[in-house]
Amino acid sequence: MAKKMMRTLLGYIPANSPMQKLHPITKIAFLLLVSAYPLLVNTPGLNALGLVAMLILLQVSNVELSILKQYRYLIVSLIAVVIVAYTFAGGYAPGYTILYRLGPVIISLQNEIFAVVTAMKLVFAVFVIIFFLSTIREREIVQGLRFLKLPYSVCLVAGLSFRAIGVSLIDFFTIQEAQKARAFDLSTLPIMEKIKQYGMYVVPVFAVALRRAEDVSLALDARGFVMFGRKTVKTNRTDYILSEYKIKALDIAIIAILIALLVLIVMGDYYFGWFRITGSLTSFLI
Amino acid sequence: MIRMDEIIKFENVSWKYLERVNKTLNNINTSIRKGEFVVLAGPNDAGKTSLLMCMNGIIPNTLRGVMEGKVLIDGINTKDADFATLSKKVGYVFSDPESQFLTMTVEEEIAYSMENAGLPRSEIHDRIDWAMKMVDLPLEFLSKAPYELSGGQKQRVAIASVIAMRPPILVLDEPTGQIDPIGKAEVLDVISNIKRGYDMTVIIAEHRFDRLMKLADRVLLIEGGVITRDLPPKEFFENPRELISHGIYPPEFNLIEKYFMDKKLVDPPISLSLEEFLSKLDKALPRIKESDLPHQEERPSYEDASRRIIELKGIKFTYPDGTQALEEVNLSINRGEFLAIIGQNGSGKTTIAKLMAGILKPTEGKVVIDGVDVTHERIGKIASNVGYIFQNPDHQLFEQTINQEISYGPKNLGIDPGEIEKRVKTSMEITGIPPTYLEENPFILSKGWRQKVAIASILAMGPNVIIIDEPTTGQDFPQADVILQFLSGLNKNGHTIIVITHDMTFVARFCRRAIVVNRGKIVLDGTVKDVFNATEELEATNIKPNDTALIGKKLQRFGKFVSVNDIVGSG
Repeated sequence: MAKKMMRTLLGYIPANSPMQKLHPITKIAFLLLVSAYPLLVNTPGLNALGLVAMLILLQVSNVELSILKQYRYLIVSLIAVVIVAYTFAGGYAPGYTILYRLGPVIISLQNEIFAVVTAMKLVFAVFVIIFFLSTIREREIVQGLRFLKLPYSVCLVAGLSFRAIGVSLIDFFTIQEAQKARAFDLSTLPIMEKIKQYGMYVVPVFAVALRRAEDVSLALDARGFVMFGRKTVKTNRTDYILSEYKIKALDIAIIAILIALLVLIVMGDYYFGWFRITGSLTSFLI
Repeated sequence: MIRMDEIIKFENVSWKYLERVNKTLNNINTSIRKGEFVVLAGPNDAGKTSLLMCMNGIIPNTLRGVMEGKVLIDGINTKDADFATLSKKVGYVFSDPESQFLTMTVEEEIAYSMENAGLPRSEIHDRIDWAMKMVDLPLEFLSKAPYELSGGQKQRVAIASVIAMRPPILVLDEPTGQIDPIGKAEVLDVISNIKRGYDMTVIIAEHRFDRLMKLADRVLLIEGGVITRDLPPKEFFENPRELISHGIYPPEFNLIEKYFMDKKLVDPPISLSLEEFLSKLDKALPRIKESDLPHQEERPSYEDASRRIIELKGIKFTYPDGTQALEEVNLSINRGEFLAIIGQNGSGKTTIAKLMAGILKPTEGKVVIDGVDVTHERIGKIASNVGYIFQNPDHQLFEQTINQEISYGPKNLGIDPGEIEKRVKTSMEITGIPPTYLEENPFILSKGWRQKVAIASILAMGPNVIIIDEPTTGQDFPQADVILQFLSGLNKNGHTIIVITHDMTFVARFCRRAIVVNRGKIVLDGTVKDVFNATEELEATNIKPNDTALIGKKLQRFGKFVSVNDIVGSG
């Protein structure tokens, strides 16, 4: 029998996924705190460990790992851009170990190390975002923001934006189907052509999104929402729906661990240089 | 008699959108009294939506254009009023239920306007319960996401969210235009309940009038931005055939009644509902003779029964979210057939069509096209034989010019440039796109033209089979008729036409075969006449045939009737 699935921003997770037990604020805290890790950690080995941790979390959350295939071009192109940029435009400083000279371009060991370091940071960060978007529903984001007592207009704009992302993703898949109906077979193309092809989707996705945005703005007016403008009246907005979620001990424990890890990274880096590329506790990894 | 006061007043109102040359509304002078139910009729682009948007201040306060004259809502000039004030006076329901949802749950959606107005929480709570009752939705739905509901339920939520504000005026812009027949009936029942139970002033723009005639106090006809008729329904629909020339498709029972009236078989005045006409017909039945009805002609068939073009064998399909969309579907279609796939939203009809076109691959089973098993073939091999036209043209336009757009498919098929040029020209001719449009950007065209470009793009690939998804949704009668006549012409030229539709009038007029899908299974498959006469089976699948099929039941001793022309002739 088919499992009951719930739509998330990037796909589906089973209704009984452990992630469904968490408060939205825990998921948002995860994004904000964990995405800071690769910014602070320079050691590629540790970032690789972080990436493995993300894969384990995806598995534990019952996210279908096959969805990662969809992002392989994004990741490959990201790595390619970083490597090309550092290799050919990384610059030169006295003391660099020269590997190869190509006319005025100097390819150095240090630039290649920076390329690997940056690529690993970005890939880890991308996996954090994939995990977050694969396990959260748009309304959880709004609930999380409202829980933080952010102004209503901020929550509304965030909600509408995330809903627009979800709807645009559906449009994107429909457009892919429409291209198939016109004998276009993405799977037969070489990788660079595939990447180029994704650019082509932008036109119809934006055209449809713009038309829809117009409708939403009319609906907002028709329902008496006024954010600013000349014709405004001062009304104290009632916050009828506060939250249907309750913070549990598990949520507090997870947020505490994530904050502790962040503090450890900041302190370890500042006082002991653990997470720098060289001279660190983990330098053997590079 | 209670005097009804004017609640809406248009004084010399004209409106021109900034980007248009001509005025969309031209010197409108009319008023609507408290408690009236007004139906707004007219072809697309006649100015119906603009007229309605004048009532809640979107025109002139949000949309860009020039307005002359003034609109007074309960004495307030809309030009000087803010939306918070106007939204308390006018509840506005848009045509597309999804485009008006702003929040994540039904409860939040209904609470939204009341939160904006700053109503106390306890009152919001009470009004949510009341609104859910008015639109006949269970309270369990409050925690659901609006976009997870069926079309009819979505529109009922949209109505609940505006009536919760208890506005004295309810404005509905083609509220049933985008939903299936059951959803339409649900929404019209709700509107009828609101009218009876709350005595709101209701203004509704619609293309189909079957259920509205009885509710309406007045019907306004708007053409080219001008109100050309303002009559009670009995007078407005007195001469239904003449209305067709104004781009209005009158109710089927109205056309049939007029035919019998002209033959002196039923007495005037005209009926305002199907039920009223059926009871008149019951009394007239003993007097009706076979000679009173036209000679029954079978619809011409271009089917080549010896050649199967599509076969689905033991097809099962499950979506990534785990929804089993199809269970063991078996189906054969011959070359030259014109058939309809009908069923409620979510029944699996679009999935079947996408499997035929190779857009989806079955979880189990085989797809055979023109004798070749294409189950695992690449899309290119299938698309040259089976063309699929999506409901929304914006989903299938990718290129910068119409020329590039129509060439896109043939290029993917590897056709040489000379042949592509010929095909572009021919497809444009068939669809009536002028050659001067060749280098135009398809995105700047109107929806009707974009739809034509989408059809031309598929035709240029030279498919034998054309599958078209909901060709009449959101179209008025003249536009729908153009598309359907065009499909009929393609069928005459040997194309197999498969239409996914909710429009039973269309099925009755053009299709020879109908397939009914319910919960992932084909439950009925036969000629349209047989399928529409299988009343019990259709009821079990929540499908309601067109009015003529129901009238035809009364006349069954003379034959099987499903389209208006079957009874009144094609003259």
